[in-house]
Amino acid sequence: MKQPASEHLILIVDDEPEILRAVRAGLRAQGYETETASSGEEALRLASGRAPHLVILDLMLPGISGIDVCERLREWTNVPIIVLSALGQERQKVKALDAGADDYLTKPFGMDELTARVRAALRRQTGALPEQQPSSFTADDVEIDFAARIVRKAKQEIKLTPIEYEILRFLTQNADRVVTHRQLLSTVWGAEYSEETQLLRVHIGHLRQKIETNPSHPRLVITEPGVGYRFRTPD
Amino acid sequence: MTFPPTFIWERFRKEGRWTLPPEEAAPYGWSLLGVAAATVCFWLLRHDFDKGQASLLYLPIVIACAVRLGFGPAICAAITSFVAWDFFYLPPYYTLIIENPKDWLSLGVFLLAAITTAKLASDARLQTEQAQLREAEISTLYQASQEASQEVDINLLIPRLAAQLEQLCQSPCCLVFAYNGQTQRMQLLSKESSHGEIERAAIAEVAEEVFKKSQEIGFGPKDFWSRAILESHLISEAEMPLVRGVYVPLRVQGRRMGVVYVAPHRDGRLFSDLEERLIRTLANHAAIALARQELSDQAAEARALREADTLKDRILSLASHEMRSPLASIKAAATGLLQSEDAYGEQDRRDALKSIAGEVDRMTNLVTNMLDLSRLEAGNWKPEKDWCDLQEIVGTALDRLGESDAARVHVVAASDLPMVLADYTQVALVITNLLTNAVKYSPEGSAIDVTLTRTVDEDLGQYVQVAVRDYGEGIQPGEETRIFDRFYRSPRHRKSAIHGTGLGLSLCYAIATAHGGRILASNAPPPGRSGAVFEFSLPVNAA
Repeated sequence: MKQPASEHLILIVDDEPEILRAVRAGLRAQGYETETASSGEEALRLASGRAPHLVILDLMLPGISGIDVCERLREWTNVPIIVLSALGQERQKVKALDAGADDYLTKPFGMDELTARVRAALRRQTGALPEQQPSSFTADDVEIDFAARIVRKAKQEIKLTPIEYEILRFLTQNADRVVTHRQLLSTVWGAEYSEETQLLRVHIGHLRQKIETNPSHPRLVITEPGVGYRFRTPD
Repeated sequence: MTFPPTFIWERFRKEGRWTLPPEEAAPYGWSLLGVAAATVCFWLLRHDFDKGQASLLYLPIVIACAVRLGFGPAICAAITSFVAWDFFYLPPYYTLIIENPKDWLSLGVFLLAAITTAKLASDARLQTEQAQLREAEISTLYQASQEASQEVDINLLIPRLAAQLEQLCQSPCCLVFAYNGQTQRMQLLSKESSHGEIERAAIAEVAEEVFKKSQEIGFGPKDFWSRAILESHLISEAEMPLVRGVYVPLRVQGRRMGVVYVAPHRDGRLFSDLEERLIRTLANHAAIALARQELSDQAAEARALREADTLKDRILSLASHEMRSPLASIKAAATGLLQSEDAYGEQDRRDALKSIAGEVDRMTNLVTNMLDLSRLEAGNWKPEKDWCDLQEIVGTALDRLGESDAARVHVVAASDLPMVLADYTQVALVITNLLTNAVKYSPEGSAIDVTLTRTVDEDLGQYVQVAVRDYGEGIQPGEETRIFDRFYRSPRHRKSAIHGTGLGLSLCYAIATAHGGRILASNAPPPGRSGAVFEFSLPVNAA
């Protein structure tokens, strides 16, 4: 088991004691400090009092809903938020992500999945700040040189249209994090295109043809059904 | 054959009047005319003939009347001939007195001969007529029965019978009422009729009364039946003209099914014997049809109950196997760990935990499938349609399959695949289920082919098809549609080590249907290798 270099405090918010217990035990075993809250009010109080490095937030809470908690946290903090939701709550997930959540997991989830998401979120948080973009990005055999705007696959330069390049840039900047359709569309095309998912699907299809080894079974640009896309970096 | 006074009396009893209608009085007129003509003829030839020879002229007239006009007119002709002969040609002339006893004899013999020949001739005529009538009747009844037995659908048969009765009896309206056991009311089955709403309601009331008493009314003496109805206080006298007609209860083996109503002829004439028989025969057909319908309804109900029973059995067997066995493994592994974790070696501990995680996945899958299916079937999970790239959906499904299984799948996609308007999550569920199935029911490591094509079809219009083909044992003949039934598992697999809930494919079917698409299962056609082929088609632009 890898031990994290610095001690991180993680706030877990869920109204089910069994989930709280299991997640707490799993995260502690990975060396994280934990704090638990079983309601939205308690979560907001602890978030301001203890300043956690990451929040794991269930969307179904008694009292203030998870989405409200998300919105209120975003009023004053950039702390990474991973939301937990039951199956079939795609709209809720998208709402939470658009409200500022960083990632989501669908219950029931495996502890391995959760810790992977936690690691990715913390890495982004402690990593580069927005003004200090890395000059290049590598995943599998795909290489992006942001300064020269060049993309290579298996050392061969590939031609991307400006739209495809923008999509790829935005996805890799948010690598391992889910990006909603709305976020992608309004970043690449502009806010007035935020509902044009068909447009997005066509260009994602083209992008996959160019950068994926097997476009029928993408390994890099992953679809999150009903939510958006995720650029997955190989472990 | 009745003697005239008897049939006149019969007729009076039936019709309540003495005078004859014009069409029945005419033959008597003709017979009188014939006798008059013969008398005039003989008058002109009276010097050439002997007075006794008058019978030579009168007798043919009587026979002609018997053959052409019937027994009554013939008798009429015989008697008038007798009188005319006596009056004009037997001395003393122009009186009815007869002097010569020999004349008495010839007159008497004439009358006897006339009546006897009239009787014989008219009997022969009647027999022919009756034979013709019977033949016509039999052919009418046969035709009516034939038509009745050809139609299976009661909703078509009853109106047809009603129309037939209207036509055959020349009645302006015929209505068929069936007794509805649930509402305990008479229900009108033959909808089209010239009768208005008010008339039909009044007729329905009388029909109900007829049904209760199970006694036909309307045949026979004219006012007899209306008195019976009036006495029951159902209908006021003013309403009487609305409900006039014949009511026949429909009975099968003593069970009452309904009532047939036939409106009287427009001219007020009574139903003939043939028409009465027709009404009864067709009413009988209607009754049999209603009884048949009732039986088939009962059979359908029994079938539905039996199906519900098998479904219950399937759920029970599923619950006993698919739900209890994972619970048993989880319980065993977890309690084992709790009790003696220290005694477990690292490998044993991992094995126990792996089995817990695996069995939880199995149960999660089962519960999720059951919930999804019930949400879909209850209409609570309507597809949220958006433009989807099916190739992308196949990618998502492959991602869920796990590395080693996904590596078995070869995807071939047509280059001109259009986007389809569909619910991404639901379609991804269908393809994931099809792929999981293919992995489960084919030898480890064997290939799975996924083909995406666009085609045009009469039913679906332009559509995209995803075909998933495995190289396993294929589908047992006869199970091609049953495998989509809820909780259905092939007997081959029920006892095998392959776990299944019998829900995955029914879920696929429900989703395909909700999208206006379809899903078909078949075996790969020879001469290729064996294996099952699932074809899932989605219309490109479903309404």
